[in-house]
Amino acid sequence: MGKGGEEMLRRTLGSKIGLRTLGEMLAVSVLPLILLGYCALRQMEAINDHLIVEEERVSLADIEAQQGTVGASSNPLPEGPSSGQVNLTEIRELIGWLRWQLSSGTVALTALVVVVAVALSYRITRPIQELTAGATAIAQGNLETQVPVREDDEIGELARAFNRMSQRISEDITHLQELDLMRSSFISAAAHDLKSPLSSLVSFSEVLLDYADEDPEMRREFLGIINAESKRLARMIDDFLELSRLDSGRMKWQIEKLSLAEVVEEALEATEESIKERAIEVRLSVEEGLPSVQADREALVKTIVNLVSNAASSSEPGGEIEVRGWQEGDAVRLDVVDHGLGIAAEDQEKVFERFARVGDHAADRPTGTGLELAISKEIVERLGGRIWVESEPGKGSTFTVRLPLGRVQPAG
Amino acid sequence: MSENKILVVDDSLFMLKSITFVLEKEGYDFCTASDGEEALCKVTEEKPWLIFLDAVMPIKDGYEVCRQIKADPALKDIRVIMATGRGEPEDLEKALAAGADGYMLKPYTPTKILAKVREALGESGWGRGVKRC
Repeated sequence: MGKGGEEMLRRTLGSKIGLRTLGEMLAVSVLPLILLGYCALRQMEAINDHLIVEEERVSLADIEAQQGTVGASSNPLPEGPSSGQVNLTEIRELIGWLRWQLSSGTVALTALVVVVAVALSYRITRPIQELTAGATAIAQGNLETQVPVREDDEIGELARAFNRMSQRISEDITHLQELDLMRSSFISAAAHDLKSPLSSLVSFSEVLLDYADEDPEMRREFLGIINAESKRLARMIDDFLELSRLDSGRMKWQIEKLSLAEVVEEALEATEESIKERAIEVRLSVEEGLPSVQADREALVKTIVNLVSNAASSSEPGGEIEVRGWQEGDAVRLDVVDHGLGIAAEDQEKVFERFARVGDHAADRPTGTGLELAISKEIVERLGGRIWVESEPGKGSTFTVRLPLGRVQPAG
Repeated sequence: MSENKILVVDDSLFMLKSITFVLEKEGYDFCTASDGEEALCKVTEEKPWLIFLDAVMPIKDGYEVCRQIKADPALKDIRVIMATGRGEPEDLEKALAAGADGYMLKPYTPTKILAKVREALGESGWGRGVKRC
């Protein structure tokens, strides 16, 4: 097969593997057939030759008999030259017919094999081409590409595996895109909220610059505000980073067995100053001998600190908050109760959202970062627990944390 | 319409504190509001000639307040300057669409407010186009 013929065949079949498969199949099936046919034909030829020789000899003997020159000892002749000739003619015809049958049979069989080979190689080639097209489509961004599964064989299996893979990739990427979007809006919201204390800093420092010598009373007050807002800004940034770390699962937590009573003590110590500032009374009633909770100390303390601060700022100055801890079934439960403004039913879920804005008594001196409850929620949920609030507007709120006892695998 | 009163609307009490301090020092009359509802009350009560409006506030946002003011024939001549958060083109378009006479970027400072006040006093008519602070 010359180069031109190969090219044409390749274009017809449309593939290299098809060409190769066809070639191999042809070689394997057609060649022996041709060989067989050729041998048979050769034998037929040989028989034919013999018959011709015999025929000639018979004719010669006939002529010699007619001429009466034949020797008695030479070839004994069959009776009647015509019957011999009839036999020979018949045989020759038979042979001719056989030869025709063999030739055409070989040709037909070859044609059949070629057809079968083309069909078979197409059967292999097409799904491979479809898989290639599918992979290309995915590479170009059509993530949900699926290929048809045509047969229940190895190639069908490959097609199915491909489809499962494409499905999985598509789901994963969609999920990542959603996460990315959430992250972007988180960052936007953070930047927006960070401007709030920043505005105060800029405004008050500017006023101090322009009107500095006018009023020592004003100077003290405004510098106090600048100081407090700077610290609040710092806390907001810390909270933002903490939440970001929790989101990405990059927290380095050390899970250990903790006593709830100890953790609550630590939290109350940390919030002592802000509690004293507002003259809040804290009623503590954590049961003795509670089973240990498995958690990261710092994270759990932070959670409780957030709840206590929140309760303190929601209460009126001089008010009272309660911290209760006890065992409930297979979990330890912590309630932080305040008797402040309360939270409307429709806001009770929202309160745990990032940058939630819910009114509090300390509005004239905001100390919150807007992220405390969101952080508490993330921490509690990663410890396998639950956090929620029950509240009645005007009566107060109870924030509850429920932590299961037993092994904790922080959901990273 | 009272010639003197300037209404400052912002949900941050700190911002109100610093701005009103400066306005007072410079001898301007003012009133304040912390949310959209309160703002609309004050507008009808005090009839200020100039309003500084924070765009993002609880209950009713600045854009909504601006629209309502501009839709009211008795109030539409009041000059409204919106303070927008990010300074993105969409915010500017929103402010204009709501009918604002001007806008400022946040964080804004008392100095900027004063500059805007003086500018507003110096202008003979409105519709001069949007001035960027």
